[in-house]
Amino acid sequence: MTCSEFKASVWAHALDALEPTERAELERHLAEPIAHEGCQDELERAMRTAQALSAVAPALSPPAEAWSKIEARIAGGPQTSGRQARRPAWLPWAVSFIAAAACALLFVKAWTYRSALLAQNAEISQLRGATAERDACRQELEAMRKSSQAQPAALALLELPTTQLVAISATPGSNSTSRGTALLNMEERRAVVLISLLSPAVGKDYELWVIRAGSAVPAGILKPGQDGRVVAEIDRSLLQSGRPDTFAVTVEPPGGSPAPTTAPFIAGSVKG
Amino acid sequence: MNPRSAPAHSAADRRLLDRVIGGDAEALRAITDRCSARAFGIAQQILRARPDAEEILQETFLEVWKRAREFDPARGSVEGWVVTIARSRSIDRLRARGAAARTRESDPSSSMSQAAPPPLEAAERREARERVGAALKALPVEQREVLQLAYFEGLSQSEIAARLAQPLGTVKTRVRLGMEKLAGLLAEPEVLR
Repeated sequence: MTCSEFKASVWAHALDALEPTERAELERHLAEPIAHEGCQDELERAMRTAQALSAVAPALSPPAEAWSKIEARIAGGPQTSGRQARRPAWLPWAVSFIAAAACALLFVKAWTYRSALLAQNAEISQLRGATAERDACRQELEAMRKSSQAQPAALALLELPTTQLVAISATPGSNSTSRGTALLNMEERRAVVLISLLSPAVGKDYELWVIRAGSAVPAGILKPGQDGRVVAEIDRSLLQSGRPDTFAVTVEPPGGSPAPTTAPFIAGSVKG
Repeated sequence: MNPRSAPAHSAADRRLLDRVIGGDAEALRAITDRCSARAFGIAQQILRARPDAEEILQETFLEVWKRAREFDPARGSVEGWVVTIARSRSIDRLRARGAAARTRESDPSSSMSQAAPPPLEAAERREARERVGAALKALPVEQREVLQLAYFEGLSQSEIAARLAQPLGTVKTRVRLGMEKLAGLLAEPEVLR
């Protein structure tokens, strides 16, 4: 992609109207260490213009109880709404036997699709986990089915051949037996983390972090089930800035922290 | 928004955001007070369902709480950033509903009470709304149409092409020309007066 092509497409990007592959191409160009012809400035101009469009929507009085609900959520308190928040959704999702059966089916489909794509694009193969890794992940999801904690999002991601599997394990010196896998798909800007063997969080919380360029961004509280397993989908917005370097989990005071207060006890590095 | 017309309270918003980064919930409340009417308005405009818009409002400020350090002043104001988050989450929810549910229904916002912000803010919002509305009206109708489909209905260029039965290249050209012209018009507010 040339700078001219970038500047032609950046307007649709600001409107979030590009297809995932187009968006990825745009971001790759912006990250290229070349002498850009005003690409960053044009991106910022486009973003400001898109933001301006919101002004045509009339401002509306929010519900009187809006702040109390927000306050409860930032404090880690329960939602008063009976509706399930779609994102971030850190409570483990119950999964039915049907979903578990779908896991096996999706895996077979993913494998078939993966094989076809391999023949077409060798580059994509680098993003795929090894067969054994996927098999282990599938088995992990099967195990989670038994504890009603598997998450459909994980199954859906596993189906995609471009999903990268990132092993999460104890950091040096932590002696933790916890382990897990992050399913990361940068084309879709989606990631799901599967952790097992977390002990119950009493008087503390496990907090997930997305780390990029040395900066840790909170990605949600992990609430393990009785069997110590948890599946958590990472907010897509946290992946908009590019591929994370690391996924990590720390122990934090109840409700979590805006920045880590302890060293990660498990972490997984994302291979570029 | 055109930086030259950015509200005077942008600097105050950024100071509040700095406090949010430090974990100050009261600062988040102040930002919520300032920005929730526009965030709720855009969510309602896109989703056309008050319960959904209320959930999006919560998710928006939860995201502000978590991602405050990611705010980039080069890309607009704090309020613009908040509204962008609300819009993105609303579009995500709209997409999750499926294409069939995207068809626009009657505008329920007409039966909802309008926010009653302080007079200065009300004036600023009215000015911004009129200015952007005038700029949109100044665009050729086919360019305005694609921008509205992309921004308020969350359609990709491919989806717009399918919706309008137009070649994808035509839609891409309309999006680019429309946005470039809109940016130019918003940078020269006096032209619209």
